[in-house]
Amino acid sequence: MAIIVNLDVMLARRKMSLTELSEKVGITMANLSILKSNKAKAIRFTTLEAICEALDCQPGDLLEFSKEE
Amino acid sequence: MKQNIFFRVFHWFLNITLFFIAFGTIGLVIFGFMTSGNPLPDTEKLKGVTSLNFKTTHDNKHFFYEYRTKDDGSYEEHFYYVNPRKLYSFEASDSLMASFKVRDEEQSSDRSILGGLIQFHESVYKENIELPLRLGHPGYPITREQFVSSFRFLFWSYLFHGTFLFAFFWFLRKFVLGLRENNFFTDKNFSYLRNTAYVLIVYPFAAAFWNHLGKIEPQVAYGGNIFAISTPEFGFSFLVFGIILLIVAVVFQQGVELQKEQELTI
Repeated sequence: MAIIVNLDVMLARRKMSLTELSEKVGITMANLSILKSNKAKAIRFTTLEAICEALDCQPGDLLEFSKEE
Repeated sequence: MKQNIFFRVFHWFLNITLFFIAFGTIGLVIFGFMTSGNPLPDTEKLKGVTSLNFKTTHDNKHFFYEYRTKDDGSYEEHFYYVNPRKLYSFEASDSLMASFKVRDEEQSSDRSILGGLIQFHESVYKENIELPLRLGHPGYPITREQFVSSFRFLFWSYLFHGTFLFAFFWFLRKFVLGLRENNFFTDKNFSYLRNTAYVLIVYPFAAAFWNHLGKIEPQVAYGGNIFAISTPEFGFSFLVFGIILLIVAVVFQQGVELQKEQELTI
């Protein structure tokens, strides 16, 4: 996986549960789990924007590039 | 909603088709086993019958059995096959004349049972007449054993062709079932569509091989400057349609990939 989603790290930093984020952003738990477990193939700008707003962070805080497979 | 009704109706049509194919094939094979021991009539029971003629058709070739009582009370049997598909090397005007027996349609009668599988003909023939050979279908003599083996082979052919037909409609039905349930671009639907294409591609090759196994006649039936050649039998239309369907299946596979990507886009 080249792009790693650090959603769990940000959630821990903000002391927020996945359920709480799901309610704030309006994304289903199933989709957030896909995102959290790095199974997602793509993320919409609108989704990224909503998550950044809810977690009060930058896209760079959520996404990380790794050369390792 | 309209789409759903269409797939529902199509699905039921395929269900009914599969039912008839399965039971039809099984029925024909059972009938074949029952008659394959001795498909020919008992000549002892034919005493008093002046002539009897029946044919069985396999791979569009007609196999005839002819029984005829002679004036002295003895009887004679003839076995021959007729291949209606043939190519001639000469023009109609140059054709040699041959003696043909012509059926008197007014005095003859026909009836059939099992949807034409078994046919009864009462034929009255006119005097032999001279016709260009091209206009007739020459009968090629075969032995009693060859006739019986082709008769048996016919019923195995029903099983062979029936299996392919069943496989084709089975995979098509599974594919339509997926569409009916509004699951369009899935791996299962792709594999059903691809398998339908494979059946169509394999069928003409398998059928050509199968027909080759059942071939009893020489390729050239007549020598000299008159000859009839069996035309090569190969289901090109099945092959072409199968390849087109395979291309559609590959495009469909791209749709499946796009669907997966869409589902994993948050």
